[in-house]
Amino acid sequence: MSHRTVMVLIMSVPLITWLGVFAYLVYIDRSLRRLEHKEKVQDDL
Amino acid sequence: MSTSQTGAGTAVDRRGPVPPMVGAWWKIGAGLLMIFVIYGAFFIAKGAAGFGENGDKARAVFFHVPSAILASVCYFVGIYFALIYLFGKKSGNLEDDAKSAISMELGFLFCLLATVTGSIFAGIQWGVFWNWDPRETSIVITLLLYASYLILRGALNGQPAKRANLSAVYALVALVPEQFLIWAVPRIMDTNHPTSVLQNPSNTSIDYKIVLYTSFLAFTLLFIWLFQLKLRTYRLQTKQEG
Repeated sequence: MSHRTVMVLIMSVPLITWLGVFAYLVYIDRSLRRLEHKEKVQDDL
Repeated sequence: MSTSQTGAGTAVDRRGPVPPMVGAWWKIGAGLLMIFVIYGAFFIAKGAAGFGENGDKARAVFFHVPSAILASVCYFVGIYFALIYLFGKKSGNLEDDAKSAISMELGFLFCLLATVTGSIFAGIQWGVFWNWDPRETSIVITLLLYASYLILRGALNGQPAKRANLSAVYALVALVPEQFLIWAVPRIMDTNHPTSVLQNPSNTSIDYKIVLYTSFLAFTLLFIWLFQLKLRTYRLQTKQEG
């Protein structure tokens, strides 16, 4: 395997991990936003 | 993912720890910056001198150093809110205690990341993943200090006021050993830790510095994002319980 191929393989570990973490954080962020919106609507009522 | 959907523009967020950090732009920015850092660590930065062929052995530094510095910064943020809780104008406000606890939890997380990435670096550079170097020992004790804080809070779960008081005092008391272990121990004892090698400007190229500084920014944004998420969760829980 060439040096570049090895680097791509090693890089894929933090990259895939980060993409997973990022997607999860966005999911939590949106879920919280929905809950906050629900609370706000209840408060307004 | 639109700005309105990602969620930071609500009334709750405007009370957040960093008021200008509203909207989704900086969260998307953090994601993109981290992707740049991951790509740059392997394909843009040329590596540091003295770390094997192509400087490959020093590439863990892009993830290790920002994590280690943030582990220390988180402690200061935790201390800041602990002081506000104990001595601020509105002393006794449990939200300040929650902010302090959130910082400590994130500090534990970044400290763990620094330990793991440091161990990977040690394994590649020195041939063993753990050899009780003073720097390795000091970060493990720092990790234990964080863990003790979290265990203390867990033990007093049903008593919020007592938990807040004791954990704030613990954070203050542990500040001196924590800072001593992070900053002083590796400088007064012989260590393999390559701080001085990497601090020498001639050992790293400009592209190395660009990726490293971008990494600092990306990790800081990640810390702020995580902090906000935890704080928003706390506020929702408090509101539902109250």
